Amino acid sequence: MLLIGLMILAVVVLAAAAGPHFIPYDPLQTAPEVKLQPPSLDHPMGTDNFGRDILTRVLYGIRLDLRIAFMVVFAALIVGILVGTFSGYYGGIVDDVVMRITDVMMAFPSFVLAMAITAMLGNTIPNVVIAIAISYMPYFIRLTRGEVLSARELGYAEAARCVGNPEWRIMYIHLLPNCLTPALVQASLALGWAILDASGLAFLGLGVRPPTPEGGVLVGEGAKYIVSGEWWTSVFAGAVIVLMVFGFNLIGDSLRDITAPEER
Amino acid sequence: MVERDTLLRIRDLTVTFPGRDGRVTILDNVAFEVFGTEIVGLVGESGSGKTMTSLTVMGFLPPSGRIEGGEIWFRDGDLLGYTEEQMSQIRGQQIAMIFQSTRSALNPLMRVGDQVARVYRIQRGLGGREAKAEAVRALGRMGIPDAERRAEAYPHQLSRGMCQRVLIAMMVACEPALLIADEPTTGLDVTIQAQIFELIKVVQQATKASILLITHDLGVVAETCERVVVMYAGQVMETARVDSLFANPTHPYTQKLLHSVLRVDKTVEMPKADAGINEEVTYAIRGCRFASRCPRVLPHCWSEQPAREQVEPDHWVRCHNLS
Amino acid sequence: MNITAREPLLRVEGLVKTFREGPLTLHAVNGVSFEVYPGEAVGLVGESGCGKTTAARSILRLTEPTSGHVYFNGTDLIKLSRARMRAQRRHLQMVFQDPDTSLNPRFTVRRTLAEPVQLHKLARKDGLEERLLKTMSRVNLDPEFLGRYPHQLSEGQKQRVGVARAIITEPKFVALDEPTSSLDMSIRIHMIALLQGLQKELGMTYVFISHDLSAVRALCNRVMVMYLGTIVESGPTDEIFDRPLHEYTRALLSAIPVPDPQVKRRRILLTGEPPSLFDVPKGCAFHERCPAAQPGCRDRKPVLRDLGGGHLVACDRL
Repeated sequence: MLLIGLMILAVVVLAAAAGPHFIPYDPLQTAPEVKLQPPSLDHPMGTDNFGRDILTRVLYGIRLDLRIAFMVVFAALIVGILVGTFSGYYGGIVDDVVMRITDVMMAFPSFVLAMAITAMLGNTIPNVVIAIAISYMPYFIRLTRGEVLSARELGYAEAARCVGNPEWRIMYIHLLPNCLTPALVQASLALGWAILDASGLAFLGLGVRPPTPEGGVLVGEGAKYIVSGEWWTSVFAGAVIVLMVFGFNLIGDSLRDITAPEER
Repeated sequence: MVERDTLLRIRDLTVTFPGRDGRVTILDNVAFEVFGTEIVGLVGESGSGKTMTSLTVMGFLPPSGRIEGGEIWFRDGDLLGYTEEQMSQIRGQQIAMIFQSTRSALNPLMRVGDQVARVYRIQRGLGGREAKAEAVRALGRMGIPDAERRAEAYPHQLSRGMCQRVLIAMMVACEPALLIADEPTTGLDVTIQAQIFELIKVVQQATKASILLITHDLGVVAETCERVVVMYAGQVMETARVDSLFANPTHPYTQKLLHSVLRVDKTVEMPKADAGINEEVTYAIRGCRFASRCPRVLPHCWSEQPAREQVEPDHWVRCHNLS
Repeated sequence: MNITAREPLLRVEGLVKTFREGPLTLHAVNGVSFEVYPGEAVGLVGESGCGKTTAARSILRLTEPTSGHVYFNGTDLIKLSRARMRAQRRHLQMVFQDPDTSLNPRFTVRRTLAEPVQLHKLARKDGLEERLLKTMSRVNLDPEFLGRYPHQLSEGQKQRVGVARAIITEPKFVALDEPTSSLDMSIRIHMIALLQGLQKELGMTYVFISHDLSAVRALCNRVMVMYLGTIVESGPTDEIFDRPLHEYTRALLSAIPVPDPQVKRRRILLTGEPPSLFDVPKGCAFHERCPAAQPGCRDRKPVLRDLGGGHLVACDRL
């Protein structure tokens, strides 16, 4: 399973990285004379209503989606593990406050929360990255906190203190590396969800907007043409989103199986 | 010499497990007896094979283990030849076992009184109410104060010492002929341990059962057991009556063991340094496995297993160099 | 060793530690006072729940004591700031009970041992390597183990790494928490021999916490017996083991089987089990189980009194 997931992603990433070098089209260049052409040898995924080659736009879209996904998860992970470790280690009031805040954040579906934050901050790509990252933070905080709560009772944390470690070293150098696994597994799954969230928001007009090529934007642009029969304008973009999410899910699931408590 | 009835006789028992390069012989020609109405201690370091021996007797060998040969005579049949159905008849009724981890041996979702009553229902065929009454009586006999109330408790509400008494009550209800107790007091406080061993002795007197007591504590052996079997790295080194073993330890391993045991009644002399056990080397030896650490080792000790020799009445040793 | 002429290395005064579990209070340590002189090996014995491990952890401030004083070389450790306390830790080390969990699974042996040296700035590059090798040889561990992870070591080896970690800063004081209890009977004596040798070589002072009284007898020159959070008896080892005065000590010693069938033991069997630490009895903590209890024992809490020769007992009958 892990292998299949990795392979899917490898193909996708390679295509996105190398593809555009082999394809002569400009993703933004319009060519009204060839608009809405079905898939052909010239245009393997057809053209959209502006005559742009869909395959090129899809490949550029993958790049953007992946970039957004990694930035989102990176930000959420960093904040999550730093805050989670601190909260789990000290307990008491600090922990209570952090738990209540994350409770509130997790009460909203993350997509809705991201929407609200984007609306608040302004409709730009950086803001959408921040918004989605914020909506994921509570989960990473909780996962890390949970691990730290049990790890801090273990002997080596006390031994570290006995030997003369200051609190910050006990937290971040001793405990944290032993508590990372669930958060990292979650991170690989979160990469897939981030793509879904980012493209979902883009579909709704939040974050990435046309003409910038991105999965959700492409699906949105092509949506109006499905009924009239020009299916290729949105189906390929949608399929690629599914493929990427599926790939990350496979990786995340198999990582979870490998590190599952039953094995430990 | 009085002719005693033999309850359990193990001969040439050899068990292997998968290892890094092929199979490892975990039990190597193990042989000893347990007679009727006696307490026998099975003593050795961790890894000596004592638990594995008892698991094999009960038919609980893990699937990766393979019995390469030998026989386990219990009463009038070879347990190794029994089917699973036959074994399940023996277990609980004729041979019972108590383990180290008391809490995990009890059902956490069932009140302890009901668990003991269940044994009376199944093994002795008593009716529901009768079984419960008998169970409460049994708990009381095991020294549990306020038995009627305690019977309604769940295992997690009782201390480990109490749980061990409940287990003993369940075992006694089965009226087994042979009780195997594997380190029954590990982790229990010393004063509780003393109470439990007193209880085991009382139970044994009352039921006339035999007990195979597995332990690494020589003090327990000296105070509780009548005979001792000493094992090392899967081989039986010496078997004797307790007085003989302590007064006249014959095997070099037994001598080493008795010299390196700490005592509470006097300050013990510190030994010279010891290389310690190297498992890979030890388990590969075809002869006597103590050869790598034996102060009296002879060249053929490494390749030939010594035969069982009698040095005194009821005192057997396996050693090439009985100087 | 002329003990009385020197100042104590460690003086504990009125140590109390309680834990709050919601509405209930757990009285783990109930006013413990004692002294330890340089070069001694003092045993702190008792069964589970008597508070010996909590007392040791409180003394080292691995858990903050509720009240009391701990004078180490004259300085009250309780009053020190976190930073100052950390500096003191160079000389206040502990060998932990469970070798499986007291070593960081992601640290190699080298990293575990180097850390205390680096934290206290005791050596630089080449000095560090030398110290590592010297310490490894002191605990009879082959230097090739430096590159290994805990899961690649046996129980005995892990325990020795724990000892190495405690002695690498050459501390004046080491608390040993059940260092033999997880070891097989046949190797316990080797650990004791090792600890004894190290003490002589490095001039350390030990407090040896254990329920394994035979190990305590082999290593310690003085013993303190704890029950339910207080010291009930203390004195020179041979005194306590051969002529115990407190009923609990007598029951405890009589319960331990001796590896010699010729020795006839008269076992003093205590009734029942120790009361819960949430509910420490008023008066003498032991009176409910004491075979020699008298009516007055229920009301008065006895104080440790010296009955001669440094033999202290907390019992009003004597």
